[in-house]
Amino acid sequence: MSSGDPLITLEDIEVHFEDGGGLFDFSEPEVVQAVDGVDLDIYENDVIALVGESGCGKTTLGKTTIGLQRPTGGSIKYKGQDIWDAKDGRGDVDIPYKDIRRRLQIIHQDPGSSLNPNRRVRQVLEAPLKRWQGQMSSGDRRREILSMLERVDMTPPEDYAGRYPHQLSGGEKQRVALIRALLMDPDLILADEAVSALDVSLRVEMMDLMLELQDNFDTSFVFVSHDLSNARYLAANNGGRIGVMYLGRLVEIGPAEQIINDPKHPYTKVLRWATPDLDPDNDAGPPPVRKLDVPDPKNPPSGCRFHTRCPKIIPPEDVDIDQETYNDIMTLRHDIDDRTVEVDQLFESVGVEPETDADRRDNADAFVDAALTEYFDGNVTSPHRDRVEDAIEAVAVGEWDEASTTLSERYESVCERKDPTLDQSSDHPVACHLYTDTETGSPEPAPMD
Amino acid sequence: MSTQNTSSTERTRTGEGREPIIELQDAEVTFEMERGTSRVLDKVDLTVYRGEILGVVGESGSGKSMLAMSMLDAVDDPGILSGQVTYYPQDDDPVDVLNLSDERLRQLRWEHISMVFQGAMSSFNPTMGIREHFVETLKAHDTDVDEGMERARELLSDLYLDPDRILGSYAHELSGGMRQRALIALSVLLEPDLLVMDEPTAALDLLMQRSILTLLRKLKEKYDLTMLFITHDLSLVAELADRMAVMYAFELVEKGPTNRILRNAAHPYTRALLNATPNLDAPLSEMRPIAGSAPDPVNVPEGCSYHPRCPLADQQCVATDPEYHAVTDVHDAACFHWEQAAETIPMNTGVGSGDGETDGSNDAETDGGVDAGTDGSDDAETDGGVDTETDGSDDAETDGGVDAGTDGSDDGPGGEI
Repeated sequence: MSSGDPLITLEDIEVHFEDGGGLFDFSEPEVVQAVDGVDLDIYENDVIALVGESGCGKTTLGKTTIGLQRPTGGSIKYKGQDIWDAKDGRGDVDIPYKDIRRRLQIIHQDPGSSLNPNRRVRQVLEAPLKRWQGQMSSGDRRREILSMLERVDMTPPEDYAGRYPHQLSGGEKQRVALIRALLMDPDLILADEAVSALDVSLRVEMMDLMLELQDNFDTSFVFVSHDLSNARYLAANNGGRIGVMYLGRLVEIGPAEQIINDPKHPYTKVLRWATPDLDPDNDAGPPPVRKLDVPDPKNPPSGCRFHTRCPKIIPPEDVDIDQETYNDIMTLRHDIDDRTVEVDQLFESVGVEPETDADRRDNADAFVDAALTEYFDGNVTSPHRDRVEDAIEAVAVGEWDEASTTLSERYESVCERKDPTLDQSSDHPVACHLYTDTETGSPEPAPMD
Repeated sequence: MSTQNTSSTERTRTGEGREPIIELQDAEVTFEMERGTSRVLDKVDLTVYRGEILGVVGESGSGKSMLAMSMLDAVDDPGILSGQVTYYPQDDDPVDVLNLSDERLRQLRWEHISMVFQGAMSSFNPTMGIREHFVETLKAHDTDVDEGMERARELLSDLYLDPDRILGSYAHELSGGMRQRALIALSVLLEPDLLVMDEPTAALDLLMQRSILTLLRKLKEKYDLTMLFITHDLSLVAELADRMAVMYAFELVEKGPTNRILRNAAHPYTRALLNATPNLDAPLSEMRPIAGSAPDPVNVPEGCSYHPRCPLADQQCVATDPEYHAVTDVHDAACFHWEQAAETIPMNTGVGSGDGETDGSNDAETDGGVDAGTDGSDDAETDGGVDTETDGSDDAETDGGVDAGTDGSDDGPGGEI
């Protein structure tokens, strides 16, 4: 449904936060790369749903698109005008910042805290009209507010206009927030998890309302959600797109139904897996990730940031190995690199409490067996077994670096070495080495899976 | 409820060889308010059987948390709980939960029945390390700390957590998903028989939610647990529970095997709820909200409390509160018109058939619902074959669309053999 020149253009957006380093904390502040290298165009009457786990940067990116978050790198333009240049008065400003600010609105996740508890609904809704349409008579304002309340099924509107926020249900508060945003006559509304706090049974109703109003007011939406079914409902109903984020990167974007029915990135497939269905025959099986928890965003993995959890991580070309064994080796490698192999427990499991290096050396064989069971269920065959045993033996005697090198020199994946790019020339791009010829960077046929 | 069943079908009803672990009879919770009496649990009967996972679904304010509180006699003042709650220990006499001394109740709560609520942050003391929580719990119940901590480590590993890291942390240092899993481990530490969970995955990412469901199943098998899982999210129950109960306006309006209810819900409210649940399979145009809104506990409609919102409601529904009608031997619905529900309210969820067959006897013969296992699909197929209703073609179309769009096609043939 989108057309013409972009309303909002994001180019190579980067938002890095400093974490720690407070007043009396002189340690080096750590940098969280909340958003990193994102390009995105948003059109008029467009819907984009951003999905991903907590901490993937979707809310930060959303706030950047409406000029609430200043990027630390890259540029954001509203109808060709750089928003932050306008704010800072840099260069020739074609569109004043105050106009831009008004056209980009937000609805928050928690409707309760975004409405002033001491003001009646009428007062809440009058404020934007007074500010932006000062010529309006109070009678017109009143009529406008009542008609909007009626439009969102809050009837009788006179009754609702006189209520305080605590006299509204969660769904009603969210509708008031939606009206308040719409009264600014915005071009774009960021809906940040706007239905997540509502009961499942009320979400469709709220989303229907958003779609209806979008249609009537020609507003674009950026909808941030961790829930793929909500993202689908909102985006697919209006020919919109779904963008998938992982640790600050946009890893796949495309038409909503394509993302749902033909997900490409292994991470998008994980989100697809995680979305519950109502089919009792559908046994989802175990999660298609090697690790359940997201890595620390202060220290994101090299290359493809998903490689530490990816079940399809690509083995080196010259290594003949099945995916399962390779995955197990990579999990062992990450544990060795992070020094999180449970050495004491493994020794304990074979009845040893080593006190000296000699103890460790003497019991290394038993330790290796225990670790092979732990990481491989004992199933690892030559030629990989020898190398794995060498690495584990090095761990047993505390030679972590040697263990790391033993494995990395043979098993380093392209996924940890090279950062896959998102080539936005197609309408459903994906940033994953499985879909590109890693030498030339050109697309190759999608792999079977 | 039909009472003329013979004793053999009575056995089938309760699930052959299944013993109750806890039983709520006529449980009622009221609050006296200025505006009148607020009845937030209305004469609820519910039996949880040993070894099952029972899911209770209800919207915010439907009374589902009161149900959980009632089971442990934990309703806060000034709420008044009446009725009967009976706990059946494995090898001991039944316990009348509402008449226990404080000390016995405390023991019962951790050692036999344990609870997990949403928001693990507030369940952990922020000034105490996670390890201390485990140690203190063991000490408070006179349990051997070394042995208990051994079990704690194993439980944490079972939940894909690194025991050293978790035990060495404070709650605020962990992600929401880690905290919630740590809390689950803590709740199972004293080897309870029954785990009661109220929205244990709310506020977590879907991936974590779904992973926790998988882990709960694993825990249940490994530690021989019975689980009661309470949520507003029907899709979680669909994934996890063997049997489910649907709560509307402080009452349970439908109970039965999860598979059966998902395919063939008999209560109009359950059907509307299924149609209002966003999912990836149903055609977008067919998802729709439930008309109207849920009642105020001070002012619940007379008769069937769902009648103002129900397309099937007539004079009878306005005048009389419906008893349970046996849809099958294991499936009850509190609705006079359950036999018409399927025709009037087609289901759009893209699963099974929307045909609410009236031939409950057929289903009873196959005993399909009792073990809530894989045989549910057989029944659906039989139903589909028998189905001569006009909406049959619509259903077929829906199914086809789903199969094409998702990996349902893999399951399809398997289910039909």
